[in-house]
Amino acid sequence: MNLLLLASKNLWHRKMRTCLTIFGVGTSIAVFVSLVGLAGIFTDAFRQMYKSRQTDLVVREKGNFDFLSSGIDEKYADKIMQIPEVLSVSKILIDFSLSGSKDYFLVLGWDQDASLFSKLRIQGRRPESDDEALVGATISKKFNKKIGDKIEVKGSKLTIVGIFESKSMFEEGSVIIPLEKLQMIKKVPGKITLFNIVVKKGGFYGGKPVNDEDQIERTRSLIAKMLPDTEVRSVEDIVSADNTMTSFLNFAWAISIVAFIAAVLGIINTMVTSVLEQTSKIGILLAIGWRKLKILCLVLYESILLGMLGGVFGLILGYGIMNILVRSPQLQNIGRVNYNFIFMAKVIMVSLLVGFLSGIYPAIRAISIKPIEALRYE
Amino acid sequence: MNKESLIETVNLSRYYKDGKVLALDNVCLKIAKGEFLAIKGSSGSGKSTLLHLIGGLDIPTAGEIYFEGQIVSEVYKKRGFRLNNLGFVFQAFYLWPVLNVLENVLLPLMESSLSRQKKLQKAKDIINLVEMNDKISSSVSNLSIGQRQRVAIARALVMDPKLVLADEPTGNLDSKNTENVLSLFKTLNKQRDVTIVMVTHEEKALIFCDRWIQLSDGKLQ
Repeated sequence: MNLLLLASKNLWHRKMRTCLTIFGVGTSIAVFVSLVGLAGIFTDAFRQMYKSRQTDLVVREKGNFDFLSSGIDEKYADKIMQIPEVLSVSKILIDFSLSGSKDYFLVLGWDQDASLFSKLRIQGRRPESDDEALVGATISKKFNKKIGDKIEVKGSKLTIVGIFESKSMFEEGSVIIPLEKLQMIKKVPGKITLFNIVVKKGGFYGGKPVNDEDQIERTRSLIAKMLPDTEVRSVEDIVSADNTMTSFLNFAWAISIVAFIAAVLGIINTMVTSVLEQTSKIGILLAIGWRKLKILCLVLYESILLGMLGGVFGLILGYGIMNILVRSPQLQNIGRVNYNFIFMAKVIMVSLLVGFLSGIYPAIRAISIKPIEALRYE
Repeated sequence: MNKESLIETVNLSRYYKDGKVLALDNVCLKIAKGEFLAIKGSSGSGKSTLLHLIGGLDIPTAGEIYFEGQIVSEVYKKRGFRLNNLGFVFQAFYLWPVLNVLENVLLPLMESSLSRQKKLQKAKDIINLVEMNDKISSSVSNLSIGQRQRVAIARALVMDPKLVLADEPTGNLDSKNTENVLSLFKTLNKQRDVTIVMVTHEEKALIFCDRWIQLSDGKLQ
């Protein structure tokens, strides 16, 4: 027999209390896993969207908190194209449209000849006139729309001329309409949300080959200098600095910290009660010559086990919640749950730490017990 | 100090509640090696206090206790000393209900540096000695009161201590189990030459002991 077995048996002996504590810790961990996991799914979806378009740089309005309200002059495209390092510039206007009372979808306004269309697998064709729309496969399935059907975008009824699949699940949950049509609907003529820029690769500068990252950075500086009222960012920059994502992540962490505090208090409560109940048993261990360090370890093992079991339960529950959420109509199949083993290992480590920290106070109480008082306890 | 003495107390006193209550008054006592000694007295006479002081569970207000000539307040602090020299049996047994008979007896051995195999062997031998081998895997919660006390005795003896301190070990037992436990103590005392100091208020327990002393209001009679 060893301490771990003794700690496990102690927990098993108090099944109901152990289960309730594991449930409490697990719920806290699940809140963390699902919120931070969802933030990761959103971030990955964004990153994947830019990757699928082979985007190197994104140009948007400077100092705008919400990218949806970013508005820059579409004529800047001609200026950007004058930079020799730029391979293509695509104008994108972004908006959301309600369908019915609660469902919404993303609306993208693209130029009819945008190179972005080449990255999609289209069944049918791309929109050629203002009353036509191309819908993503997710939207087609969700609203049961086929080619030839009508779809209402912000009050305008458009005919579906094609259904597309994209490597980006975020994009697949959108409706693409001609840029001018969306500008008209949004009442922002000549304005777009952002430019999607692809930089030429394998270039030379001063007669020497330039690596792709340097080429992208050089192009970024040139555009930033040319258009000082815009913000030019790489994809990684834009994904990590996205205000909506950052706010969501901060919110997730804030909620998680509160949940973790609740978990710690839950374990402390359980362990203090357990130490009190076992006062006389701890007293006999001290009487027969057990070292205080061993008693300390016994209590800590129990609380660490509680933390670990709570962590495992929290992971299962958290991933379960995430799976349900990403399949919900509100999130429109935004992305797939990524079973990141490093993240899982980190969660288990955090759970062990929660267990350890929670066990310190009860463990100190246990070793402060005087055998003589402990043996009089019952 | 007599070399044959295992324990000697010199002018031992213990006050409680800031000196207002005198539990033990100037007790001088010698306990020989291999002796089976009973301490009797009425409730509150100080017999348990004396036992706790000898076992190092409590600290005397005045006086000194010696274990084989060494001052206990120093020698008990040595790592492993209590574990290897003292065994305790209490009226309330203090067994771990989550563990079975073998695991309860193994508890003191968890601090020992013996190999796993040797620990198991020692525990099984002592369980056999207290005639509990047929219940070795039973949870102590499922044992009778008498059987529980046998497990507690096995736990006290598993480290082969020189001294076993028993505080009213038959206090919770019926007459048949009382007799069985006292016989067991007597047998172990003779077979293993272990010194036993037992607090009791039962007159019939005295016939099993080599000697008995009486305490009254903290004083040795």
